[in-house]
Amino acid sequence: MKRSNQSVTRLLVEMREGADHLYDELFSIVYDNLKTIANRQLNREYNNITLSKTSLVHEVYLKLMDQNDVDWQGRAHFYAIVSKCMRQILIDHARKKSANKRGGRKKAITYLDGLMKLEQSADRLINLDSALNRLKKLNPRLVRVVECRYFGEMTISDTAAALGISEKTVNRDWKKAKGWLHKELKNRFETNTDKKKSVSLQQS
Amino acid sequence: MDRVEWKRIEEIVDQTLDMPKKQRRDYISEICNDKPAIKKEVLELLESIEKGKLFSDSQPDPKNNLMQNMLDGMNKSRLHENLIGKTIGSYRLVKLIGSGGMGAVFLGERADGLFEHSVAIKIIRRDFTDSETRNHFDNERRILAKLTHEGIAQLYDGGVTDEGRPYLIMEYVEGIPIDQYCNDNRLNIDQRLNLFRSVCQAVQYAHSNLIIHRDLKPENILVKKNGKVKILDFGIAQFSEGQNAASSPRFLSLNNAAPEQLTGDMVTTASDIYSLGILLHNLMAGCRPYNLNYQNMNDHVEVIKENLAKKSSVRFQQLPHDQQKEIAENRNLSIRSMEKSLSGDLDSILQKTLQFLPGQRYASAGELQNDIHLHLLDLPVSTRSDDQYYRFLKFFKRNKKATLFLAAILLLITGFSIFHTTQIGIERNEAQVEAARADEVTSFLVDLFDSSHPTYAPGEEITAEDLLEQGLERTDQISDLPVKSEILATIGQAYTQLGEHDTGREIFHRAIDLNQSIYERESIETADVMLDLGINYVTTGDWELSLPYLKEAYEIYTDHLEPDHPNVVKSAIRLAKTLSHTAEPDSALKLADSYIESIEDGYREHDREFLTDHLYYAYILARAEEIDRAEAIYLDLIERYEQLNDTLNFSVVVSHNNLGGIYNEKEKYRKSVQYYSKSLDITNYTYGPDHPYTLTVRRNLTNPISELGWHEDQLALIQELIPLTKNRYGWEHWRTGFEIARYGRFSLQKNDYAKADSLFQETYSIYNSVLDPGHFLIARTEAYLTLTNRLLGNHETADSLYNRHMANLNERDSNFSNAQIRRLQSLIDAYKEANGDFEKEIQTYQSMIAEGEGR
Repeated sequence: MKRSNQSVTRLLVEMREGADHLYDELFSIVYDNLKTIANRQLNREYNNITLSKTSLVHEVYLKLMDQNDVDWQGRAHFYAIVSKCMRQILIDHARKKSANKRGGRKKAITYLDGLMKLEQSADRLINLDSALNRLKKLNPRLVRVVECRYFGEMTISDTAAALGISEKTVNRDWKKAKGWLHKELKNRFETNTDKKKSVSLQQS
Repeated sequence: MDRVEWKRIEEIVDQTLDMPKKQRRDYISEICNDKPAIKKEVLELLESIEKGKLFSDSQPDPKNNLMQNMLDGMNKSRLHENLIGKTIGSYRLVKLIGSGGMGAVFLGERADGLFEHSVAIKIIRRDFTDSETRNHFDNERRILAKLTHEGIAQLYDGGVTDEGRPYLIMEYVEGIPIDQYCNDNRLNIDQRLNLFRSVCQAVQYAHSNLIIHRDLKPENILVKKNGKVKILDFGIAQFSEGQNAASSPRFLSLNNAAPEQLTGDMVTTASDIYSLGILLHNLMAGCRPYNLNYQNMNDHVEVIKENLAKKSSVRFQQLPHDQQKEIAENRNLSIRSMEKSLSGDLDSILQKTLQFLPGQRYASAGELQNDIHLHLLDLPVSTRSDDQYYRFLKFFKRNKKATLFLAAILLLITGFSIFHTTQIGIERNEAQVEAARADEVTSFLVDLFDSSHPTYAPGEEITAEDLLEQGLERTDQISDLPVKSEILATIGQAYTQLGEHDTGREIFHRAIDLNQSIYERESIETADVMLDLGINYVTTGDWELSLPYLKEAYEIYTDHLEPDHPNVVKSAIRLAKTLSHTAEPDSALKLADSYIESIEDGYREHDREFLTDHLYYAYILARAEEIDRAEAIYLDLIERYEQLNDTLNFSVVVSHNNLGGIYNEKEKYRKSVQYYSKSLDITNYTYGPDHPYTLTVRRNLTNPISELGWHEDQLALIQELIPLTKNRYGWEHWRTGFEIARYGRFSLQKNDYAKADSLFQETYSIYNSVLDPGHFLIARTEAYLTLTNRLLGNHETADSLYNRHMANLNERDSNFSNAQIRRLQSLIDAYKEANGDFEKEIQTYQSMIAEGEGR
């Protein structure tokens, strides 16, 4: 861990006061903590590696926060930041795993069933990300709601608190965002499969 | 859509969402009445919203998948680090040597350190909490441990660690993946195939023990430093499959898996066969038959089917040039020869291995291996066994020695087919019968060739004689008499070609008798066989015997056919050739001259048959002492055959040989040696060293060499001739005796009298047992023995030998032939050269020649 919990709390306080540039610093801290938590979980229960994403965000929170110093709103705010980080981290990972990105010589890779559709998942997640970028131009608040609800798996009330909007608005935004993305991704997905794929030969 | 529009849409949707579902669409229609674009957007959005889902039903949330993978990646290094140094079974984990979806592999060493033993320890990532799964694992690994084969990495032990992680302890194999090994060492196609065969053998062994690999790919097939193959992880893939093994497999290498593995159907040994096919394709063509990825998941089956229809050679041709070049270089081949080696057998083997349906593939790895072996031996592979021409080719390729004569048969057969096909337009019915007959002859011979496989021991060349003998035996089973006669004639020709003249004659006579019983007495069919028989006699120099058959064939042909018909011309020239020996060479030339125009015209019409007629025309010219014209024709013939790229043709052999003779006569000895040698090279190659043609050319070659005084070469040739002749004719044959006498004369020239004497005695005893008493050759040998005995001081023996052969020679009632006169002359020379006073003998022989000529 690069920073003490104390300084993380300070970062959060600063951020609430409008220091958006601190996101980058927080990002690396969240990432480091994800690693630690993952490893700890693994050692604890190797036989059942299913991780709950909610618990993951929560664990990062527990790990980072000095709860005494941060109020309820602060916690919600923190969740929102972690959600945003999660989006970034996942998309970065997806780009690494994407079939589109992997050009050139292709090695035969053995997949576990969980990973079998990995490339496909990665591509779909990247599609979601670029749809979110398009949505941001129409209504950035909808995107923040999606980050909290989807990537951070935050509750409606936490999301409302973190974003400073009413629960009703969160509800409505979440519905609209899902609807719009669903439409957008469905179209994208369908055009993808409609395209006849030519299979090229590659030397292995 | 811009932000303003979107804002409006959102507003409408917000309002709509507050309403009961039933009213929503009416409201939208009302409010967006004049804005159809907005209305459309709103309605679409509403529809999606009412579904209430971010992703379509058919597509699960991709996030969890990615998250899990990411965390696994983060964990892996830590997990492995934590395991180093731990003890599993009797082994300590030393270092990580690999990790993949299935788990991690460590290098292990004995924990007690009692002795050095390295193993590979595989820790499988799999939930083993339920007892059923665990029992299955325990049972299976016990079965796998029994799998003992030099081509399969041995499984020693296995179990479940205290933490519940299943592990396997296996033979540690140091090696590199087979594809990389082949390329690194630039193995050629045959070497690759042999390596692949050992893979097949190992797979076959496992399959016969009912164990399927399920994940055969280059990474699992290593080649060790000693060049031996080891297959890793046999049967282990099943441990990472779902509990219901028959259902969807969890563990796959997309581009090495069989289609049924992708579609979740039953995995069988045929799935491994398919994966072997993918591997073979890669080793041979340097590329995969197709490339699947996780983007075109839904099209996999289609993509596979589409690509499997293509041949590997075609796939190779479609690669970019640079890649082709690299692949070919890795196999020490040019791009062109790369294409050539892929097409044919390999294409067809690959196609049978890479069948979409498991039931259509090779039934076993053993069968696949076997076909590759057959291909390497140039034997017909199973996939192409119904192609007759292909089987012929294969037969020729592996029996080069017999090839020439078999090619003659093939020509004969295809000649039939072509002839009969062209006839169809004219006499349809008859032609069909004939064509059917030609087919029957063909398939009879094909069966004959096939019988050479698989009964014969590999590496041993089947001889043409063996084949013919079998063929002859089988002719008695043929009830269709015309077919039988054609086959007899064909076999007779083959025997003649092989130098088995007597057998050939016997068979020809049978065919003639048969033909005369089925057709009218003077039928074309009979003439065909008579011509063959006449030619057979000519080959051994039995001119007188050949005469009646050639004459009758010629007469039948001229009665039935147009004067310029190839058969008329052919028989006329053959007849003229015989006549140039049995009658006046000039009259023979006259007969030949009357056909020379037909010969020229025929050749101009690209009928190569007529080239042979040219050859004999030159011979007839030479007999009539038109040496220069003959020389010109021979030289021209050699050139024509060269242009036809047919330099191994028998006519080329004859032309060279006869030119050798002409130059010898013209005393251009070096040139003579040159032409004889060339002729010898070809006959040696195409007929074999003990074939009568080869023996003749070799004998001829001794003449200019002797004239040039190249004694060492002469001795070598003479010494070779004896065993070769004996090989062909047997010890008790005048030809063998003749060659021994040649050595005797050479020894005499070298003043080795004792050796000469013993050689002549050998000849003498052979002649006496096979020739009529009083035969010229016996008398001649007696003359030489007289000389050797004189030189050795055995005058008594010499006297009696002298008297005996003089009586013999004087009792002759016919003229000496030219050859005999030549032989007497060389006898005189031997006396002249001998160390002693032999004036009396010399004069006697000389007067004998003078008398003999006049008699």
